[in-house]
Amino acid sequence: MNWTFFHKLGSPKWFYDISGKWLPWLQVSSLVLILVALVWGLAFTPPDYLQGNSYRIIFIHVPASFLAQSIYMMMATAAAVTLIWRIKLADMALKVMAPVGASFCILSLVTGAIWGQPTWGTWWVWDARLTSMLILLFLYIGIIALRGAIHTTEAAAKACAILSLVGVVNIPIIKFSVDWWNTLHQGATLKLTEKPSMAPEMLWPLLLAILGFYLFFTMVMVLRLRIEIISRERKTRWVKELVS
Amino acid sequence: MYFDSWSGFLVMEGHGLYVWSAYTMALAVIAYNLIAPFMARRRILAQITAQVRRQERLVQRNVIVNEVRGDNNENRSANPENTQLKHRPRRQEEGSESVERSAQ
Repeated sequence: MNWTFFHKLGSPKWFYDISGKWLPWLQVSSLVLILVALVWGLAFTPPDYLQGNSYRIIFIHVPASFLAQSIYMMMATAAAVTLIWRIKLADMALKVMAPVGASFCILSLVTGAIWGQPTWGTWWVWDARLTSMLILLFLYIGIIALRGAIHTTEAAAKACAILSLVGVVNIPIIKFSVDWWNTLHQGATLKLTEKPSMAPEMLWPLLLAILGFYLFFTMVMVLRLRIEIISRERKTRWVKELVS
Repeated sequence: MYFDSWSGFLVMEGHGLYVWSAYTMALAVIAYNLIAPFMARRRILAQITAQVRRQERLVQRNVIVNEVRGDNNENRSANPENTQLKHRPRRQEEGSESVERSAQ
């Protein structure tokens, strides 16, 4: 098998060049998808027979929660790559994903609390799903703070990678919390193995919103990664030529 | 459109405040994620251009020719003549400006 693509993938300059071509597509598609999905969800879907109009929060809450967990899994993958192959780009990815993941984790928690008030009659309960999600936010904040506290790049990379890997234990807890414990939080709406428990006129805008949020995350990550590359490779000739 | 009127759309049968505050929060998070990279980009590009300009100025004055050839500290300190050459002209030609700069 030819491994050149793998080594190219680890080259910051190669990534910088190729990702510049992806950016416009990502920007347009993600923003259009999110706009269409949210307008659809807000104005064109019928209300839920049980929850009324408050269920419209699902079109933000579910994509944000999916992203918050997926971003953490991607960070853990980047952490493993950093520790095993010492690829610089993986550590840069780990660094730039953390604030994005934290922001979507906050969005998930806040929209969940807002949804909880009309549905459960309370903003917050210390049940398994909500608490494990709060721990995910603390993990994100911990990883960001840890990097800020260590000044050498290599030492920070190693420490953050180890912390990210240790925190992975939280992800299955979040996922299965609604099955393992009795919680106020409803079970999963979307499952890969079963038919969705949602009417198609509500399901379509939700799927679009999820796709839009994932594309938006990809776009933001590429933007941030390109900046991180320039920052860390500032002593190389190609960056100096790029800047001047 | 599901709602009959704009006011119905805003009120959402009593759930309007919840729904709209959640969507506002989403907008805020999206805006943060769009603005933060551009701010960072501007800051870092300014840092690098300043660094490149500083280096160019110093090269023009022939002060840090050694550093440009290769960033090898061992070589430089191993040769006392080199070290002297590197420091002396700077002290003679320039005043407090260069002292400030080397302190950075």
